[in-house]
Amino acid sequence: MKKIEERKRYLIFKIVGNIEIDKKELDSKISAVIKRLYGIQGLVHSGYKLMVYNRHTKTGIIRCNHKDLDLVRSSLLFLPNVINSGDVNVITIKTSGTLSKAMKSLEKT
Amino acid sequence: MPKWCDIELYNKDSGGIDSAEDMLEMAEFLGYRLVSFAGFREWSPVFLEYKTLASSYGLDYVSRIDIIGTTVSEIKFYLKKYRKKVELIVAHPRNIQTARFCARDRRIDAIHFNYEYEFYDITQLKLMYHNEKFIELSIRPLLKSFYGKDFKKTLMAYVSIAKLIRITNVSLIMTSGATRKKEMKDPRSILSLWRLLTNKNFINYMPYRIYVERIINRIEQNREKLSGRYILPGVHLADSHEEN
Repeated sequence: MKKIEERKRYLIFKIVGNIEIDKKELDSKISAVIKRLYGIQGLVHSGYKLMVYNRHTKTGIIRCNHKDLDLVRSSLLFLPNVINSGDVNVITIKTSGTLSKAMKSLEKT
Repeated sequence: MPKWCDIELYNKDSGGIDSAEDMLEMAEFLGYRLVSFAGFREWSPVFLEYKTLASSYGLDYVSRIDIIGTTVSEIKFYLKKYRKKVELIVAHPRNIQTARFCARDRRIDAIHFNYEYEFYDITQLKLMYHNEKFIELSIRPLLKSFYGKDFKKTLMAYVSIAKLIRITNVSLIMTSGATRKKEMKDPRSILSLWRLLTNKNFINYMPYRIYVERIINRIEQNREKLSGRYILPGVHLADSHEEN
């Protein structure tokens, strides 16, 4: 039986501001925000996964289901409140359909 | 690409923290094409400076004043004084009388939603819809109260207004309400908050193109009225032969 897979979207984001955060910590913070806003069901259904995060350039890629792109995007709006420093902004730069294209865009930023 | 706009930014002169240059620079980076500084209660010569400054960043600046009135006569006074000077007038009603008046009066373009007041009911929104008013939904209070005690209350107010907007089909403007450049968000992220309020993606509610066109059409209409070529709805001064 053929497995039906949801189409994916890759969201490229950038953290602007003076903050030192590693991938694991960022992943838990984003998950916490999604959980608070949409619950565990929202977190599971969104198919959220932090694929890449570069702590030097402060850019990263998030994978999610294409129907739940707005769910992840809206959660990123609240992320500066969760990261303790108030001088932080999270900007979504681009959305891509494949990881390779997203990686290329990430290299350009 | 849609002509994205954020018409509620605050700079140093209007109660914000960062300067107008910083805000405009960030707006350009985020992909906005049309911006406006809110918080001015009256017409100011700095509007002309903002216009030239914004054009240097490739942005279109819209002059805007915010009318905060507790009485109808106070709002009428400001409208009479400034309607023929600015491109956008946004009202901040403080009680039900002023809210209903603002919804009816054709000189007002938009009404700012304040979650603390309870007069944003179906009557108010139907009145706004029939008089072609916009409702301005600032995301700042929601973001600010995320870890506060009021988050649930604020979210509930926003959810109920979003429900009413969907029922009555009132024109909507979602703004960041940023006072610093680090509070500014990209346009798609602002609209993605619709998902939190209605559990549906914004694109399913309205295509981005129509959303942007509605706002820009209103601003262009107001600019035409201010240009002096507008006589009546549908009656305009033609170009002179010398110009041709």
